[in-house]
Amino acid sequence: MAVRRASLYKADLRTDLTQSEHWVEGGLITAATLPDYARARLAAARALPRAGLLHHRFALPLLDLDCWFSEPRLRQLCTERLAARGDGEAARTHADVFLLDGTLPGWEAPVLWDVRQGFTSRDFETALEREGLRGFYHHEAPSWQFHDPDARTGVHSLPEPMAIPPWESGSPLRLFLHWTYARMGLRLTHAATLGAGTAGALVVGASGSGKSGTTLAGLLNGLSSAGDDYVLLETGAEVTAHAVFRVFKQDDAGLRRVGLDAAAIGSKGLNWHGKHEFDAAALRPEGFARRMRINAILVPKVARLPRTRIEPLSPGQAALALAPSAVLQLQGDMEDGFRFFAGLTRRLPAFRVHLSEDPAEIADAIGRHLMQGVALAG
Amino acid sequence: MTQLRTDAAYHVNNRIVAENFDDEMVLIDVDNGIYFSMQGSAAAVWRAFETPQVPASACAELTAELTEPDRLSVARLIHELAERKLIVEAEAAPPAPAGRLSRFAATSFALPVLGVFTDLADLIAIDPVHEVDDQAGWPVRPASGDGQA
Repeated sequence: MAVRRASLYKADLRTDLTQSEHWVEGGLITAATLPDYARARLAAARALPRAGLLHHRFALPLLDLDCWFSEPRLRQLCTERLAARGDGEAARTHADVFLLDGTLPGWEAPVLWDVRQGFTSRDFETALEREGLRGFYHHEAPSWQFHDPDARTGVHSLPEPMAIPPWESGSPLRLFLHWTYARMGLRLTHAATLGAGTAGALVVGASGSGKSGTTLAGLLNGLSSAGDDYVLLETGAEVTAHAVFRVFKQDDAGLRRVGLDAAAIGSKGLNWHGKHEFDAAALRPEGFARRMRINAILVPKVARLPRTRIEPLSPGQAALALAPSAVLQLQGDMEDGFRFFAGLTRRLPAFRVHLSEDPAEIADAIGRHLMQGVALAG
Repeated sequence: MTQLRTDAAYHVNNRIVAENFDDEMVLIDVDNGIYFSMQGSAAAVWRAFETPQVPASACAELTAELTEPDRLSVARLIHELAERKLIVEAEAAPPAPAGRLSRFAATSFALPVLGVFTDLADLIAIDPVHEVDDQAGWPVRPASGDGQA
């Protein structure tokens, strides 16, 4: 499979060797030409006549994001997935993102990366960061995401109208949001959340740890949540999680465990990872929190115990569960991100949650634990 | 797999990001997505290489007061640090003068423990801007790759 994919890709390369030769020698992007290519794509996006684009302003937590689309289905996806900030909350800044594909008149299709060069992701990142830029390249349907934090402008250059990386269907714009929020001193974080009363917790862990299942069990059994995959973290006198995406993900077995099925959640089919994506804010509106105070870190573990058991976890073990995943899931600003999450695990108490198999019991145990924590702290 | 050269100086890989906690150090190699935990004396051994050290000399100095089994545990760790690229050859940098490292005390020495976690390495492996095999192209890694788990 890998060999077939590699040879297909090399065939693509040959086809495109003549593309954009005005751009870079050989028609391919290299480490040396990457920053110039990024700046040119950003400038070209800004120079496009706006009348030919579809516009949508997303009122996100602490941010007004103006997006300019060449494809209406992509705009629709973003409007369905992103969570609006709460009433009465204000934006602190504004940013623009252009999502443009090669079928748009006047927009050049993405130039390919020269895979003949040995290169590492860190070098890629460094080449752009030296120029004050951020970026990501997706090879399967070659596309570029570039971001200029100073200008608060990003561009996603796509080969086809809906050729976003498949893992972004549930969390579109996530890299642009990550880069924009990072500049604001905030962190888009790979974590779920659960809340009870005025207390809340980050729910973190590797794939298969029970993170999403625990969050869905909580949402359906009286707890609140601001997201099951990515949330925005704001640290100050308190730690606050803001909902950025309104979509939850769960596979068929996970839905069955909480008494749901694909029809009940209005699933449109499985995503690239074999999971259904569904609107948590529609499934249980009163449980979907726009923002939540975070008092603790929970690290679930599938244990199939008769009753859920919660025990303290050291900051180092909490950091192992949170920081690597949070840093590696979102390219760019990795060192700063690692320090941010390490600081968070020193600041918040962490707990291992050995799960039972009863969603209601799990929710009850976590809810009581969070409320007791607030009572003790108070 | 990277082999430890006995005649070369090594220092901590500056591509590793590390944070220290009370009882543990957590480290990430952001190039390949592998992350690590260090417990016991492991972090102290790794940090000894913050200035370039010849591994055998550093090991002898750190473990001068330890028993043979404890000394071997440190030696094995230093080999693994090199294999995992947590320490790398210090190009053109001379080793630090001997006698500058703090010796482990036999009474308080804790065996070094290095935890290696590869579950997130796929996140980086799907990144296209990796080293590629000259003939096969992406995503085939070169045969002399970095030994990623």
